[in-house]
Amino acid sequence: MYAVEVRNVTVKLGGREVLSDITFSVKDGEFVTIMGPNGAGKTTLLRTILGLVRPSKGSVKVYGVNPQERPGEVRKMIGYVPQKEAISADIPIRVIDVVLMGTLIRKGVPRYPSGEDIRVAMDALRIVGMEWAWNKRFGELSGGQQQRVLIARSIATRPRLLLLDEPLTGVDATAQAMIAEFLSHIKGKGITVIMVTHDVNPVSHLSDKIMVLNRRVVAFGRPTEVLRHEVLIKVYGEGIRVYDEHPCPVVVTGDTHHG
Amino acid sequence: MVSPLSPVFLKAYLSMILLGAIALSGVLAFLRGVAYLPAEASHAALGGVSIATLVTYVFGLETDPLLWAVAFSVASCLLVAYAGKHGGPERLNAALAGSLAVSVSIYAAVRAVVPAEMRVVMDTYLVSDILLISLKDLLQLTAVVAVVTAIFAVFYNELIYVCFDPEGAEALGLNIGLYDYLLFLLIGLAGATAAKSVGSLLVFALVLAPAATAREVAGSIKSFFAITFALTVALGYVGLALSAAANWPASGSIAVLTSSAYLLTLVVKSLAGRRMP
Repeated sequence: MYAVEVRNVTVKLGGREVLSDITFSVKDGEFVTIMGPNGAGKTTLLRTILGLVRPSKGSVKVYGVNPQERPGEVRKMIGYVPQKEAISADIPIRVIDVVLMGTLIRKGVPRYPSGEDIRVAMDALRIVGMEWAWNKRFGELSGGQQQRVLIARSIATRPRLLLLDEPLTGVDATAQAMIAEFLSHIKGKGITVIMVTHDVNPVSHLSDKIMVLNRRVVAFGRPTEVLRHEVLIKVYGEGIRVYDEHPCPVVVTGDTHHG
Repeated sequence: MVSPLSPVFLKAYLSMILLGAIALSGVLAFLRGVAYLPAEASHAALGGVSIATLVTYVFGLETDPLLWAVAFSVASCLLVAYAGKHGGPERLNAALAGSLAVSVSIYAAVRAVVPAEMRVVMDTYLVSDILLISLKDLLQLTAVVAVVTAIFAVFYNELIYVCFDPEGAEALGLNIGLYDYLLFLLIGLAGATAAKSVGSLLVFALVLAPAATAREVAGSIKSFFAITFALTVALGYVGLALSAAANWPASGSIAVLTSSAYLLTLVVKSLAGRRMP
């Protein structure tokens, strides 16, 4: 069964073509990493899968459901971790309230947490090793800790599909390794994961497939098929370096993310 | 000296509690990143009151200025929200400035043509004093604050989510457009009410200064709201006591206290920060 099927999708934003004729599918339980330079349309692709962006051409299905036709049904199946830059971290919101957000939005008004909601939120924090911070201000945490809390929020909703937008950006190598470990745990539970990243190396060994995106699909396949100099040079130019390492090649793009 | 237990002061004590509730709109504005909006909304009320005055002057129709003030403030805030939704922060700020300019221009133009006794009503929305609130005003303010508080209590979480992480909230299925408009509507209602209570010029000091002070010390969103409410009411009562004792203007005394509290908090925080290793 396919978790996500994207067929000939073209997306225009403000009259500009951001994604062009995108076709790919992700099987249930797969871990797919999407890489590409700034402005490649990675975030737009995630937002199209969520149904937040309407394609001008083509179709998207999430577990057989079109997100444009039945957005509520699709969003109940998806956990989403947005880019940290989109979050107002200076708001004095507590960590537990951030995690509860995922559960409460799916409840009716007034959205007040039950004891069970709090237990589920604490379990999610425990999975990412952040239960000690439940009463702390979200803004007090480091970038890596904030990402772990956002991952906890998404897994507290018990998603079938997890979409992550640049969860490794702005966090140090130790935190990246920790996040990769949680994602491995999530993959082990059979949750389908689609992750957008600039730095593929921390998660390439977890990835069943990697997509190189630059407004169109440049390559899509197993890591050893995609992480090759002759493939990546088409997107990143001559500066790209690929080192053959076990279990996956290591890529040095020299590309940085600017939010 | 007027007795602090006279009816004038008793109405002012009740008004301060209402003003404490109105000041919570300042917290919402800070959280949403539109700190100037309550002040803009209260200035928009000037435009509404001016139109009400003009209608009375030209057509002889008696209308309630507060209704016009509320309508203008709410419409102005919703316009700003619309601009932000369709053009981002830059268009939002431009709409904020434009709306303020239009309201103040209407006020200035109408003020130039109506007779002096009509100007008095208009001017109470620009500069007023909490001791001038009548029983009818108090009842009207109570009704508006009750509506704002009820909506706020029911949709508290949604309003916070829209401020904290709109993209994540939308992906989780929240209609963020709807709740963003609701947030701006609440600020509009509060802005008009604040203009009626203390005049739009003092909204910065009486509505925004307590929220700005609380922002410096609050450890959570709930304490941000609680400290803002407590500060507004407490400093309001101290200001009223000073006014009674020294025969100073009440709203002016309260404004000096709230502004001083903010400056003092900044100084104390700065000194405490220097002492940290």
